[in-house]
Amino acid sequence: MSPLSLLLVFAVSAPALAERPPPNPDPRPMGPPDPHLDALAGASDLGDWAVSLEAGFPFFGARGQVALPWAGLNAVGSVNSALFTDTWALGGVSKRWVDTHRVVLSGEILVGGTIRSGDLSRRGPASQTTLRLARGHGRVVPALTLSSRHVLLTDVQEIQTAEGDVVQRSRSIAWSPVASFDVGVGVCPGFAVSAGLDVPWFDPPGFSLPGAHINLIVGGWK
Amino acid sequence: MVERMITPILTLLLGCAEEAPVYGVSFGGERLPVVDMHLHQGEWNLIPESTRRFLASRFPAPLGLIAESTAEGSLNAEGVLEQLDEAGVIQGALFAVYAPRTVGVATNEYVAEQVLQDPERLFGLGSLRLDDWNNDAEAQLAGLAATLEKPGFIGIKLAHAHQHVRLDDPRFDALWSLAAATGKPVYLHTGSSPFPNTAQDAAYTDPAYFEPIIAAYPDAQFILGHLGYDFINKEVGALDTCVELAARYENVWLEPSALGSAGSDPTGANLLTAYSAMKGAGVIDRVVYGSDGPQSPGFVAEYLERSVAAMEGAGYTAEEARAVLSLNFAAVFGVEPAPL
Ligand SMILES: [Zn+2]
Repeated sequence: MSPLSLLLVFAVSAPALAERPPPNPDPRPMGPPDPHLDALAGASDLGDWAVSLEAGFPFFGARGQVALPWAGLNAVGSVNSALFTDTWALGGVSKRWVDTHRVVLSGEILVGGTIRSGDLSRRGPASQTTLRLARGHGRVVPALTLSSRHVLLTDVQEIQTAEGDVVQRSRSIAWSPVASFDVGVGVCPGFAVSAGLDVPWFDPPGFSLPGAHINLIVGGWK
Repeated sequence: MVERMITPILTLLLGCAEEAPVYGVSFGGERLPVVDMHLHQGEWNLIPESTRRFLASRFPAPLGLIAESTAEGSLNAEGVLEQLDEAGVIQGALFAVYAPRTVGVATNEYVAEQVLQDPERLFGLGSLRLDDWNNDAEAQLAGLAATLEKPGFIGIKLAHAHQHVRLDDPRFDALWSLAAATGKPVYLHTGSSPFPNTAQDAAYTDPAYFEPIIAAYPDAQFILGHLGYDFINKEVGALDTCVELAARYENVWLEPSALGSAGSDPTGANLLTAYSAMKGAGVIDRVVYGSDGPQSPGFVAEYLERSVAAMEGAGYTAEEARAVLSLNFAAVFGVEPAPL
């Protein structure tokens, strides 16, 4: 847990605990949602939503989720960029698969596109599959996120011959996974922050530097 | 920035000077001056796209995503001098390069400007385009001749494999004559190359193909760069050919740059083999040290360390190491021996 998170825990937990009823043994306590739990767990309860803004090295991004009235699904939209050069814009659905007082495990499938500028430029339709494991309650929520990102690349080669031009297309899929570990802290109802470490792998098998980020999380309910 | 302003003030107040770089290397109990004859600088945008991609892919991700700004710091004269200071290298030669399809372009004019940043420490090797020789030979030769007149220009740099011309191409007589007439040695890349689009066939990489020209121009000095190293397979390649040519021709010099880097020779065994072979053939008086830096921060210093270790391993005396590290540079290029 980062020193920032500890500070925030001390700043906000004492008065809040005093006013609280005894711990609720139910899997999902009633009352205002914990946006950090929802965001880090990847899916909100029916009627809830959460938005997180991320800044750090190398990633900047925004992600929003809102519960849908069917099958516990959430609609998710995400824009994420490494150094404002490697940008992924994706949308899709998420769902909590396991949801207890101890843990929440969710899965998420997004599709969209990615575009990378600069000397390593590339672009194509993309997908991202994510698993999130978070502590299932509390003001301080640790969470582990594993994302597998794929982009479909098309290489076009034009060959000039005496008979005319020949265009050859070949397709390949590039993989770039990211693992993150976050600690989220509820600051007040509807507002939270989290800090985390990222282990991205941009162009396997080459080496990638690890990163870190801070998230601002807001959430609401009907 | 603040540090830059405070340091001179402190120096004035306290009367203590900033720690000056220590030049030279210790060898056999002596301190020897070092000159690095093979250095590059240039502008990122003059490197062809495929090579920028190749270089960017070798930076640790995600720095390759912003390769231009990552590379900027080490590509100008200031960056090169910092690297030389860190390595204890007193002087260095910057290469102009005209290989627009492979490693890129660093113009004669750009190198001339960089040399002027510190004329006491930096020299230049001029170059020219060879890829449209049937049409622009005269203009290219005139440009090179004018460059060689400029202060600090001591030689000519060519890379047949990167410039896509055969080593035995018979069209360049006027170029060899210019080298002989001006007394400016010609540096040649020999061996294969990891850069995309390099002409890797033997005619472009094997120095044996260059022998007729060496024989025909005894008054021109030729420096065989990289000792014919096979950078693709990380093997000694045409080392024996290079050493034999040096043994047979007085106008052949040898330059063991790049082949002994951590990437190209992880164990250092190949660089040791090379230094041993040159000693064994009795041609140490024509070995000129170079690194092929700066490449990445710390490379110039690390390459010098690896080279000194190889010379120690091969049983070089301090006088032999002094010849390799500075005196032979002065001899082949006709400049004053470097101070410590
Ligand atoms: Zn070079």
